[in-house]
Amino acid sequence: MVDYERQNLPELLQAYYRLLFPHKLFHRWLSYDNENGYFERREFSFTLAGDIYVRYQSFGDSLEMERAIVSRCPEKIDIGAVYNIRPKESKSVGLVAFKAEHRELVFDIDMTDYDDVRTCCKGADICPKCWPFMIIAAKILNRALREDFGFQHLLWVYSGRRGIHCWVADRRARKLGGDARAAIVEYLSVIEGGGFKDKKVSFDGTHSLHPSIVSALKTIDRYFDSVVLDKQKPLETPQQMNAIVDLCPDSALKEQLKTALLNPKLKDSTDRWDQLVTICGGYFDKLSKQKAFTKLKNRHFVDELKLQLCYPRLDINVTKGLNHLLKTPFSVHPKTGRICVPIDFNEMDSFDPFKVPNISSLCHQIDDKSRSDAPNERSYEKTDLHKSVKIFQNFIQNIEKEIKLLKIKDSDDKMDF
Amino acid sequence: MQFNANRETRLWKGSSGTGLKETPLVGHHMTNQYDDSINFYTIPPFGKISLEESEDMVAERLNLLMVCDEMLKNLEKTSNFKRNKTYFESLENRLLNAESKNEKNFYAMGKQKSKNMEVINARRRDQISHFLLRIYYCRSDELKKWFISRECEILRARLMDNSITADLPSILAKNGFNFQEVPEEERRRLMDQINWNNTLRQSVNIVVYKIPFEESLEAIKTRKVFLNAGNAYIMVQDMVSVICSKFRAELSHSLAIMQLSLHQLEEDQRLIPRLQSLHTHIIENRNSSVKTEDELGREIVRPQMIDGLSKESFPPCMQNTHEILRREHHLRHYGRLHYGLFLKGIGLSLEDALDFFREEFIKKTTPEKFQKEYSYNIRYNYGKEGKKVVGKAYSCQKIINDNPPGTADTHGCPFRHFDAKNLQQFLRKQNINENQSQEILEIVANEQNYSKACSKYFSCKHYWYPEMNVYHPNQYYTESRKAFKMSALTPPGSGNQSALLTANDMSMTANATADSLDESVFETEDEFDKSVAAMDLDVSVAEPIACTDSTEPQE
Repeated sequence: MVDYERQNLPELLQAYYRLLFPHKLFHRWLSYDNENGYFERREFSFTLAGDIYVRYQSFGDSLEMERAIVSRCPEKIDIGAVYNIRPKESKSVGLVAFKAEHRELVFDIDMTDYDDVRTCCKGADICPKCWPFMIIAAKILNRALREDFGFQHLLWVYSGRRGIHCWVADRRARKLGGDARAAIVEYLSVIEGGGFKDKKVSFDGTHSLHPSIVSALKTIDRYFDSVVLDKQKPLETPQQMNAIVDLCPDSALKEQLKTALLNPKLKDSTDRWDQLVTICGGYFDKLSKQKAFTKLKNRHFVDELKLQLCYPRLDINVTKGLNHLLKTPFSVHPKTGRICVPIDFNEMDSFDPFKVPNISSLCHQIDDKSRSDAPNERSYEKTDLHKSVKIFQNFIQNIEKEIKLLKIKDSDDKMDF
Repeated sequence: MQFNANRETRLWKGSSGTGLKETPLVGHHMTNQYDDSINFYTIPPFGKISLEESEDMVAERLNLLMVCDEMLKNLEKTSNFKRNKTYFESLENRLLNAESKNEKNFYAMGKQKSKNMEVINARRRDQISHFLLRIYYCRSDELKKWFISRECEILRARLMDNSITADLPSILAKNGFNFQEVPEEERRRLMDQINWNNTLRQSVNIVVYKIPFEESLEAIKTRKVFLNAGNAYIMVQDMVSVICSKFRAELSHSLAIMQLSLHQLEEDQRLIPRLQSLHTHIIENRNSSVKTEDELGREIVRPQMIDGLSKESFPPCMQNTHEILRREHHLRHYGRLHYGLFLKGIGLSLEDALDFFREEFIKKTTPEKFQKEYSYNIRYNYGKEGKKVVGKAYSCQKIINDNPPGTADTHGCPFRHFDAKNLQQFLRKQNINENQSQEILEIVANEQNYSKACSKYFSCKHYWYPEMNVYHPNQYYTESRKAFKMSALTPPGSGNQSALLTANDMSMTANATADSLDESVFETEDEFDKSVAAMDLDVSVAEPIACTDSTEPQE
């Protein structure tokens, strides 16, 4: 792979937008089978060189969009909501009348939010040891969105640096109001509290765990040994052990765990975790046999620990706000030069963010000849972008199929009258 | 009286299977709609009723709504806005005991199982009073919002009654709520998950509804129900929030339709004024019986007095801000800061300040947002947050010179920050006559002496000229209150005499004013000392700053 250098970005972007960016597909996606005026009422936002934000742009058709992108060469393109009127005309209409109507239901997960549980990197860095947190998060969310909420058209996208996005494009999802989005996020969030709250997951032991949480735990169990215990090693030093054990709300159990984990026979995090699970299990079994129900309110402790370590940490404001902006797929991340590529969910486990093509390599892959050629819709086929575009195409085709079915159903419903 | 405009088109899926049009509302069928203790008000009442009787019914209902009003206001003050068990217990208790001319109010009486005449009568009062109040509360968005949420609270209280659960499926069906029941086979297959929390010991014959998740947001938010393929599986006893939100939507729809045909109802000159006065009497004057002075003889300012006081005694800057708050239901940062501290200075308590701003702000935003974004500032002003220092009301000098209003801001000194045209309009609105208005405008234009202009304004409003120029909004206020007290001592009709007060009287008043001002604005001696120093500064700076700025548009 060719190394990316930030100083070359303006030049690279020109070539990328002219030759590689899938403008036509983009337009096809956002028109949703030509639902009336959908595309024209969509907000686009450009970030130009020098952090200049240009919001509330909209385009009449694919060509107008392509021209704007190619000529202005934005460092970042965001997609906003579908408004009741064309956003570019919003200034002529009073702000009160200008309203966001529809948008995809979107999720944003960022690795920085895992800083208190990952031991390998901090901040914007990621490595093969912590990336699997994203895999677990995606699997849990994917199941809940499909099975619980019944959504079908999910596009998973690598954000270009340290996280993932999910776009839910079902018609039902696009129509959700702000309160419904907020309710969905609350349903999907279990991590609560910031830097000043250590125990971030708490469930009342007098109740069972909700089926959705039980499913999440099943997913976590599949990864817990290999990802958390082997890669992250959360129970190596006495400090680490204390930090985990201190989360235990039952003081008697906490004391028991503290001494037990210091046992020198336990060699590594895996041994110590097993010991912790065994002790907690025995402790709560005993209480349960004694029918000491009031003392059982902490019985979900082990599950709470697992959730605190692995459950998806959503940026809730991105999902809640109907008019919130989110970076488009196929944008270029200015810091890493990597493309925000769609991910085939079936291959989520093997997805490697470090192998995502960067803009320098892609431009290198188009040979000099085709560079000087007139822009060709299919130039991407010669590059590593090929596979990502296929995933995107697939996603769009499935949406179009759904809309066709819905249209037939709509007209059938009308016939009933 | 006709309620036809309000009729809904939904079909009745009751046991008889009749459509609404065929449902006779008279004769022996009358009792059918009073079968259950819960009424969703889908059928308007029919028949004749005397004005006196209707007045009693309306008063009865308003007392119940008042209970809900107070309960909801308390709920808004809690940290998580969650209705817990204690909340429902106290709501139920207070509703059962709400005032009524009858031995028991219709809420309490209508609840009883036995269907004797008294119970039916109570349920009838429930129905009629609800529809009567619709006529009054449909006339503005604010009234509608108030009415709907209070009505929902009554419904919620009724639904929380455990004894209703068994009848609920049939009540819902009768009232046209076509919630989809989960078929037997599916229910058996999913029972473990539906009943994930073991709320049901015997789960054999329980009715479970399958509700699109968009209609059961409350339930999914709290992860209370099982969710599958976009549907929430809700057991009948957990349906409260779903039913309430549906009822809310339908009531809101009905009121909107009714509002459109208001002009037909306006013709009836007997009913509307009565409803209006009952509303004012019961809802708006609820706090009117409280004391008006504290133990030191100072006027106690309560939120409901602010409108009146603002017209009489607020300095122009604060009156303007008050009007903007009432009109826009919002103030931007400096508006909140200046006005909030001013109100604190005139004696509004922290609790009342929170109530006052909350009530206005939540017309435009949610109670949650108010709690999160605005209540901190108000508490801060009162020294309950941050540095825990009691905030000082801004002096004229600060209001005039610091943080001038930006393009979207509305705070500031009208004499300094309005252009001549707007200032003239403002003065006209305050009933300043044209000659005097011209004088004020000249002081502003020629001398740029805003303090003098404000004093002149004061004299126009009170028929006297204060000895000291106005240098602080709270000074203006206190002086104005004194003036009103004094003129109240003079015989009615001799208002002009107050203009003849001797110079001696006036200086005495001014001194007394300065003292009471400090007492009311500052709480500790330390603060008091500093404030005196600051005030000296204010006075001495007041003159020079008046002529520094030349950018004021001159016409």
